[in-house]
Amino acid sequence: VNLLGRSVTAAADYPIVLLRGIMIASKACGGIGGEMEKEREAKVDGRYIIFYTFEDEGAEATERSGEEGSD
Amino acid sequence: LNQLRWDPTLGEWVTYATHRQDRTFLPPAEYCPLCPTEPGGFPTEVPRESYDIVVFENRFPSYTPGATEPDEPGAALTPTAPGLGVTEVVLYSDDHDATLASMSERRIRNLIEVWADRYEELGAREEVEYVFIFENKGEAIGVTLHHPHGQIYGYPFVPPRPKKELEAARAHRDEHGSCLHCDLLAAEHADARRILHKGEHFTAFVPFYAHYPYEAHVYARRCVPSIAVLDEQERRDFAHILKRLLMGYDSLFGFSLPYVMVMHQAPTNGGEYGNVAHLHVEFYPPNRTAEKLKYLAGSEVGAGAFIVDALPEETAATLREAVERGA
Repeated sequence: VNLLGRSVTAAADYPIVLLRGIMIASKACGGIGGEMEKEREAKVDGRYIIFYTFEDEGAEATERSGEEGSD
Repeated sequence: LNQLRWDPTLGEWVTYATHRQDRTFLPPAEYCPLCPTEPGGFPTEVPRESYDIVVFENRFPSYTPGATEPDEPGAALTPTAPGLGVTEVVLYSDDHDATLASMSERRIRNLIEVWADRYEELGAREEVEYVFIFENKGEAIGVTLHHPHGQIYGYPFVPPRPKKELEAARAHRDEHGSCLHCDLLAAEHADARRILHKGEHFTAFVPFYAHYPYEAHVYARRCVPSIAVLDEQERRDFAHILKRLLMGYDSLFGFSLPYVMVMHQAPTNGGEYGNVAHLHVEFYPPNRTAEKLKYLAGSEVGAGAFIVDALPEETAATLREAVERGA
């Protein structure tokens, strides 16, 4: 139980995806007007890692090179 | 080992994570564990050649979903508990030398999306009572890795400082029927001397009661409990004002300013304080001048009473000029 006395899911039950490159979610992003892709993988020691990729990454690269304004 | 011990004198939990003594400490840039893994290079935390924004579980967690009952049983007066929770690292960019201040507004907007997603996902975990998004920047703060990154703690309790703030907000609502933070923001707008920048949906200011000379708060103008409920225009303006303030900080003394950045929002423990939370970000730079740092010493550490040697109106004027200069 947690500190408020509620039951807590055992660690082994956490939804860690074990296969590399499986897309977990892709959703429209209010702030960027595009899509955010979310991929969850597991490291060899069991820790998860999540890759967030944004549809506007190309624009970001352009922006980084100074060819576009900040917005 | 992740365990909590109750301090009955202050009424708060203290967390013990002894494995953190062995965490990586200021490695050379070529061995940065937060950079992408180069082909044939040493394996970092990120097994890809490039990335946009990455979140992973900290190798040296303060809280972990796998925490077990402590070997030390404690006592009725001083109970113990497992250090359940989540400790995540958020990599803002694969560019080792970038800082949040140097990033584009577009990237900061993307980061806001990630923060909102983490708030929702971690907040949905039953053992997580409070999702705490923060960044420690600079060696003066004690940072052990320079790569641009922040952290997220999913606490199994509402931590003391947000709890104290939430209780003050609840008392204010009970007495006045209004949001404490909305009223504070209205007072800052009316006074105007400590305002750093007013966006369409967010305002940055040095609070009337700042604990650090160049402390700054960024408040949502709309009374929203969390980052997750911001709409498109609010997220854009949030990114814009963070960028403006961060550039101002770097312009203040002419170097990349260290700071602690924290986000306060509604606990995720089922609504205990949900109706009084108001999303805001607080920045605590340790510098009181270019060369001198504000140290927490006897009065601050032992008495909890801050002594500040500069008035907020004065530092706000200086910082406002820096924000305008840095734009």
